[in-house]
Formats: sequence, C-alpha cells, structure tokens
Amino acid sequence: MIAAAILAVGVSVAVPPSAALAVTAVPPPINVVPSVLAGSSKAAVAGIPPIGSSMAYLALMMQQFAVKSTDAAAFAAKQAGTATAAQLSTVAAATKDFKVPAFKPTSLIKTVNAAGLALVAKDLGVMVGHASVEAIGFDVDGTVCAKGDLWAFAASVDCNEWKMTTEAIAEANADAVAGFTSDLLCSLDGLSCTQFSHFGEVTGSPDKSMSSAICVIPTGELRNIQWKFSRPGVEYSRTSPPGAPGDSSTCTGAGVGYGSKLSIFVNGVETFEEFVGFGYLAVGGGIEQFEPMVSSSGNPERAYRCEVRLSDGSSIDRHSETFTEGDGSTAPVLCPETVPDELQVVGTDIWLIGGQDPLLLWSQDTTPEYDAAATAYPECMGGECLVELWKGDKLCSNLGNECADWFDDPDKDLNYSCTIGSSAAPISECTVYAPRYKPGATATNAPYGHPETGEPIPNSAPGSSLNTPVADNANNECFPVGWGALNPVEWVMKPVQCALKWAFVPRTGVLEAQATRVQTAWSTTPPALIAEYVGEVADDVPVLDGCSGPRLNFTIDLSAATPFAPFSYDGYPLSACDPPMDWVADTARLLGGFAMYILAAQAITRHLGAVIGFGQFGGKS
Amino acid sequence: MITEWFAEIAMDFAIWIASLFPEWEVPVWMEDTRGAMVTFLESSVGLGVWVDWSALGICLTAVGVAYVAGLTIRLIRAILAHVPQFGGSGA
Repeated sequence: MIAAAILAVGVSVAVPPSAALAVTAVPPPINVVPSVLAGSSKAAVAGIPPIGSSMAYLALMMQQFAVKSTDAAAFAAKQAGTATAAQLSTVAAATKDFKVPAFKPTSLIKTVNAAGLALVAKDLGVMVGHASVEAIGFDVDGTVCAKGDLWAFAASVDCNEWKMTTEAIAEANADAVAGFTSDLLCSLDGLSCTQFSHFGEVTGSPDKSMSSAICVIPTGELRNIQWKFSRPGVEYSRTSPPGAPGDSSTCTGAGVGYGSKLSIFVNGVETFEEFVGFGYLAVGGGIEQFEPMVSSSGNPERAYRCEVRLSDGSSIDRHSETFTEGDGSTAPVLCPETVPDELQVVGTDIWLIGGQDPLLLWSQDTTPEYDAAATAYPECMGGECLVELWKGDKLCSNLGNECADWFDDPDKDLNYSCTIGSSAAPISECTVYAPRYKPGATATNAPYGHPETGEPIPNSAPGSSLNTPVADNANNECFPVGWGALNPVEWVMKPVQCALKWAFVPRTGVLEAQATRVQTAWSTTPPALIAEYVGEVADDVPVLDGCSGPRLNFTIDLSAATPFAPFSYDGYPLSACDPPMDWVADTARLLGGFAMYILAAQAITRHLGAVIGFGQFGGKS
Repeated sequence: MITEWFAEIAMDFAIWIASLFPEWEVPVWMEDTRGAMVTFLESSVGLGVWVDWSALGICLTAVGVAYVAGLTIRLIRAILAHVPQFGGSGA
C-alpha cells in the first residue's frame, strides 16, 4: 500500500499526461528523506530559527544554497566527483547541521589482549538514503565508499585510502596467534582411537582403508579443528566451522595417496602428525571438500561482516572483500543495501571474521533521531519520500493550472491535502509548493516557496540552485555593479553573457527530467526488458576468483546396453591450483591476453587504415 | 533554452522510437533458460584462471569503438563531399 502510493506519486511525476508540459511547467516533487527530521536539533540552521518541519528545513536549505553560487559550484563538483579539497570543505561546512545519521561516527576498535586499538583510522558513520540527500545537495560525507544507498558506510572521501593504523599494523594477527593452547594430552596410537581428554576423541581406521574416516569428537571447548594433508608440492587443509567444530562435517578426511603427511591442529596447535606410507588415508567427502592451503602462518584471510539488526529480532548481513592483516591492508566495510520494507533497523554490528574467533569491532543502536524518523515516516526509510499536494484524490501535478491558486484559497485546508510519503501531513507542509503550480513558475526559476510564507524562492528550480548558470541573474550580476558600472563595455558584456548562458547552457534539472522521460518510455520496450533480464542473470552469477576453474558434474550410465558400470564425475577438470597446472594456466592466460591485444590492434589499424585510404596496414584503400 | 529545445526534440524522437515497439514481455522460454544461462556464465567465469576475460572485454570494446569511429569518419566525409568548398559538387 505504502509502496504503491509512493510509486503512484513517482509515476505521476515522471509520466504526466503531457510530459513536455510537466518538464517546463511543474517541477518535480521534493523528496524528503528522513535525514531531515521534524524538530530535530540537528537540523537547526545558524541564524534561522527552527521551524519544526522537515519541509521547512529543506526549503530553507534550497534558499540558502541558491544565493551562494560558490556553494552551488562546490556541490556540483562534489556530485560530479571532481571536487577539490576546498570545495569539499565548503560542502561540509554548509551542510554539517543538516544530516541526522543513523549512527554516530566512531572508529573500528579491535580488542587484542584486552587492549583496544583502532583497526581503521577513519571514522565511520551510517547515513540513510544518501543518494536522495545528495541529489538535493546534502553532505554525503561518510557514504563515499558505499556500494549501495541505504546502508552505505563511509570512509571520508576515498575508499582506496582505507588502511590499517600504524598501531594495528604493529599488532597484526595478534588475535590469530594469541590464546592458543597446547593441551595435547595424548596422541594417536597408530590410527586407532585416541582420547583427547580436553578436546575430544580422534578416531581413525587401523587399516587406513578408503572407506573409513577420521573424526574428532569434541568433549570440551573447541575453537576449531584443522586437518592438513601435505606431500611435496601439495597442501590441502580444512578447518571446522567456527562455533561448531564437532558437527558431522568435521568427521571427514581425504585421500591423498602415498607419501602424504597428515596433521591435525586443535585450536591452532598441531596435535597429531602421521606420515602415511601405505595405502590411502580415510576418505570422507573426497578431496574436493578441501581447499588449497594458503597459509598456516597465522596470517589468515579476513573480512568484515556487517550485521544489521532489525525490529523483528532478525538480522541481515553482508561481507566485505577479503584481506590479510599481514599486508597492512584492510577492505571497506560493506553493509546490506536494503532492508525489508516492513521492518526498521535497530542497530548494526561489524565483525572481523577469518581469525581465530569473530571479533566485534563496532556496535551501535540507531540514534534517537533516526528512530523518530522511522516511527514518523516508516515508508520513507527506503530513501524516497515525496511531498505531494492533492486536490481531492488527484495529484495537483496532474491537474494543470487547477491548483495554480491553491495557496490563496481560504478553504485550502478543506479543498487540498498534503502528504509526505504515504502519510497525511498538515497542509502547512506544502506551503513550499505555493508557487509551484502557477503558469510560468519554472520559467521564472522560482517554483518553490518559502516554507513559512510561500514567497517564491529565487533559483529554487531543480538543478538551478546547484548547477545552472542562470543563478547569477538573481544576484543582479547580469549588469555591472561597483566600479564595473563605470565601464561602458561591462554594460554590453554582462547582459550578453547572461543572455548567452540563458540561451545555450542547459539546466541540469531540465536535462535530468528529460532523461527520466526517455528512460521511462524505454523501460517497457523489448530492448530494455532484455537488458534487464540479462542484468538479472548476470547478478545471479557468483563472483569466482579462485583457481578451481569450472565445475564439471555428469553421470554416464550405459549399463543397460553395455557391460560397463555407470560412470560419474564431479570435479574441476581445469583446476589450476596445483603445480604444474597453476603455471600452465598463468602462462596460457598471459599468452592469450597478449594474442588478443595483438589481434585487436591489427583489426583496429586495418580498419582505420581502410577508412582513410591507407593500405599499408592491410586494409583496403 | 535553445539547447534545451534541441535536447527536448531529441528526447521526443527517442520516445517516439520507443513508442514504435509493441507491448512485450520476456517470454517464458527465456525465463526457463535462466538457470542454464547462469550455469554457463558461471562456468565461463570459472575459466577466468585460464582466460583473461578483462583483456577480451577491452579488446572487443576497442575494436567496437574503432569501427564506430570509422563509420563516423566516413559519414562526415560523405556529408562534406556535398559542400562545394570541400570539393563536393554541392548536390
């Protein structure tokens, strides 16, 4: 219902009966995201008394920016990703009082040996709906590293600057080696059953046959169990899942053939080592269950897990890319991009995983300001919350000039209604739309009104306040002032300059509106639907960056017609994880890439040569 | 405003082109092949250890851009050929 209402609002704006008319006559509705909260002390603007209205602050902000061309340029540069340090500072200073984060910025604190150190120096903060906020000029510091919109995490400006602090580098992997114990109380007697009095029972097959398995059955506190099989040039390992080291998945071994060495690590300590000189060691699920062993040096691959706690007690999470502390590197935290529409966020935890134990680095409940927004406008938590004026059950945006004089209607409380998202709002919330429906409101570049008085706000048209050069008109800069007034050339140059800008420099807002029209028109066409389908398929393809190559799984059963037994295969025939295939694969990849570049260069030169009639490249002149 | 006017004409033309397409939905058979396509693409991605897909993408893009550039150059030359000062007949 809520989503439908918002969708209806959005569509009514995007595809009005006369799209061209809408672009030039009725500016789009304002999107009020909950970053601007009613009555929030965070939203107070220096020199302007709080009004207690989200719309009020939004409009005031527009007014504020409209008269500051330097701010507008800084915001435009920031949106384009070309802002200088000074411009970023300008944006931050101009908007620092407008944002209401869902969480307070703090660092990631990693506790090692009872001492806390900042793993990442950057302060992190979670913003809500930053994309929409950015579109209307809010500061989006802290969301630059975002892959998505809603739960984007911030690392100041450049995610590439993410790196461990000096203190953290000095203590790298301290958690991976700290806390290990060496409570090996007994060892295997051959491969027969052996009791680990604290950690469990290791059982094995006396005959080392293919059909048996090696198990560790925990009887005490276990953090993990790791099997490692090795022979010259080959190492395989498998680590029990954290928190469940004693489940059935630990009860597997692997056949590694003659000359292999089996090691078992309990809580990171090697507790058993056996050279397998005869036959095969026990097989549980096959060697493919084991991953190539990268390192057992205590420099594990790690990742951040961002867990967002929801109002129903459930949680959703997302993992970052992996990294190793030994390299002094880290990865940006990635949090879930969306939350279910019907739920609210109550807190977020960030875990460091991949070490000995998951470490909680960051944990916060949402701020009271965010909670207030979630309660007042739950339908807006997705980042879009449109303010709309209605006449009866019809949007004024679709009624042409019927709402032109709505603000002067003494009975506007009865004849009109205002909504924010899908929630009813006082009609005063729509005061900012006082001039919006008047003919020529956009042409005068003042389609929005002051939220208290309804007086048209100069340069408040979408795009103009931030991006259009015509903003200079409002400052009377189309005519010379000061000493320039004495220069007759200025009396020609200034107006001509303004006129040329007005005539030829398009307004960003208008172009964006036109682009939206085209996008909407094409969205239901076969090419767009096919592209969408292809994109969905591509999204379903997992990201693989391992060395295993494609998996092949098939069964050939000719037993009915031939004496041959059914044959099954499930493996990775092109695996390049082990020598010499890893070298072969690297070489093939290198040579193949080189060949592709050569062929591409040849094709390009031949074609372009043919175009200009130059046949020496092999093209037809 | 003048630029916007031209842009609006271009956008209207694009919208008109879009309106020429009939009503259409992704056919069922296409949806049914989604699993197979994902499997195929997954296998292709898995071959990344052997094949430098990024290099292939760069090469195909570069060749495509070169062909578009060549077509553009030919088009410009054909147009200019109609201008008398550039050697054309003006016809």
